[in-house]
Amino acid sequence: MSAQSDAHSLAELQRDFQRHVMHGHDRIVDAVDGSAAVPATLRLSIYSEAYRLRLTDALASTLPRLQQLLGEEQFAAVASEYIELCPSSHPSIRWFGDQLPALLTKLFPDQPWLAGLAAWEWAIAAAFDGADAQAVGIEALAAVAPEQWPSLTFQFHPTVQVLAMHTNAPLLFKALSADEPPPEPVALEQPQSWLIWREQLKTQYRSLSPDESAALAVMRGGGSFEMLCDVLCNWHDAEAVPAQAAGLLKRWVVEQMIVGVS
Amino acid sequence: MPKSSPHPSLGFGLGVRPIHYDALLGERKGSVGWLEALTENYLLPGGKPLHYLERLRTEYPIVLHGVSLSIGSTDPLNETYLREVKALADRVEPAWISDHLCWTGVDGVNLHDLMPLPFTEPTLNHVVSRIAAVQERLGRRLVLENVSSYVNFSRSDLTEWEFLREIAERADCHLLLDVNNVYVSSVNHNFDPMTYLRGIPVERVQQFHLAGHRNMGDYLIDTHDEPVCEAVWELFHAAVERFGPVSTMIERDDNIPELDVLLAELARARDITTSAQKSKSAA
Repeated sequence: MSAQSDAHSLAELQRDFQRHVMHGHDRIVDAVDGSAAVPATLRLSIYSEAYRLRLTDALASTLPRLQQLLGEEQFAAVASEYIELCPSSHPSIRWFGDQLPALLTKLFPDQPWLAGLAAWEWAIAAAFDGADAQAVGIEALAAVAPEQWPSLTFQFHPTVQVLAMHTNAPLLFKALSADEPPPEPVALEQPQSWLIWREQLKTQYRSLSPDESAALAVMRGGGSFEMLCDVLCNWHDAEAVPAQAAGLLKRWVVEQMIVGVS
Repeated sequence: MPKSSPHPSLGFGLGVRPIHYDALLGERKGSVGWLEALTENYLLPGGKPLHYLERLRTEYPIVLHGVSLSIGSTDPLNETYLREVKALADRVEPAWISDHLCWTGVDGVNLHDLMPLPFTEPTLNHVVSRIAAVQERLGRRLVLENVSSYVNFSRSDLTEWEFLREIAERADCHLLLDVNNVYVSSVNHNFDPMTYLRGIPVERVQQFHLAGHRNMGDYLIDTHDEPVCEAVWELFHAAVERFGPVSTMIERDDNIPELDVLLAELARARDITTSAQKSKSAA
């Protein structure tokens, strides 16, 4: 055989093997030696079963609270459907599951908190191993000259995420993580903003008031202190705004969300 | 890359698992000679895993052990992955980088499992050329591990040990001999594991793996969730007699016990190594 047809032949073998593992196609069976005690089909099934188990375990490892809420059996059924629809393509199994919230929305349209919880746990995981950056101390604000304040901008830690949650999924997550009975899952009439970030090695989260949520959107988009004050005018009296803005900034610095001031 | 001897033995180590981070850096600091970190678990932007790996590497020699190189796949090499592994290696400075002699997927899919290769001349040619490319990208010699397998392809006209030897010699790479995998495959494919060991060139073996498996009656499954069994300890004794003192470690990926339990198991590996060397020099 030529080198080209050899390679093609290996490629065909691997494709057939993979089709068996993923979809149960049986063309590979003839290419495999079996024995009386352990026939070829049983040998091949070790691979197809291990494939599903490993990916299900990976999903459970990234989304443990979703598994708790669904129960192991239903979680395994969802995982099985996901594995069929969205095979992994990433070298690290850590990234398997990113499309699961979309599947949950489709499978459980009347229980939107399931997709919400999956998206929430995915975001928590992203903060856990997201990029590192050195937070600035409060002295960085003290060092700014008064005339520089209006044009001052702030760089946020790369793990900072703001999520508009349409259900009480973060409260479900919080209770389940603390091994407490979760509240009744509910869909919200108005979305609630939540903040996720990492403080050194500790993943943190808290709910956001509408003014802080709007303030964060402006400032994470590169807005200046002056723009921060402008947006806060939508919620507060003009004379209270500078103190409100300073208070928010101080909180973000104390919570180690600010990594640069310029 | 000049042909080189295997890395001198680092002694006895463990596969590093997150539940042991604190013990390895605290009350059991220095309790093992080296650590093997799973490459893909650290291909991350930042956070706790990399933080701990950075701290561990100041206390222990580190070896990177990958599962997604897919050296035997007919897909093109994943250049992004190779760049990420290179960047991690530049940061961690591992004593060596290992992966498995297998494939993990085709057509862009990662099955996240170590799939068997047919042991044929065309496969040899394919894999050897890819090892050369990977060794060039990483700027270092690869260490490749024999996997446990459950199928043998009818087209194979070489034994696994002949295949392994040819790979190592033609590609000029080193071998990670997983003693448990040799045993598991010997039961599953009904061959003599001693013949396997005798077929592996001594000067190519740079590392041993020890692990537990599950006995399914008619066959064994490589699960890494149980202690090393007696038959594997016996085979390990024979392996040390043949290959000498090679960097040895225990892999535990599931049902992971306290560090002290693994340290006790590792002490047995040390005792067996001492006894095997004595019996070899007496012979």
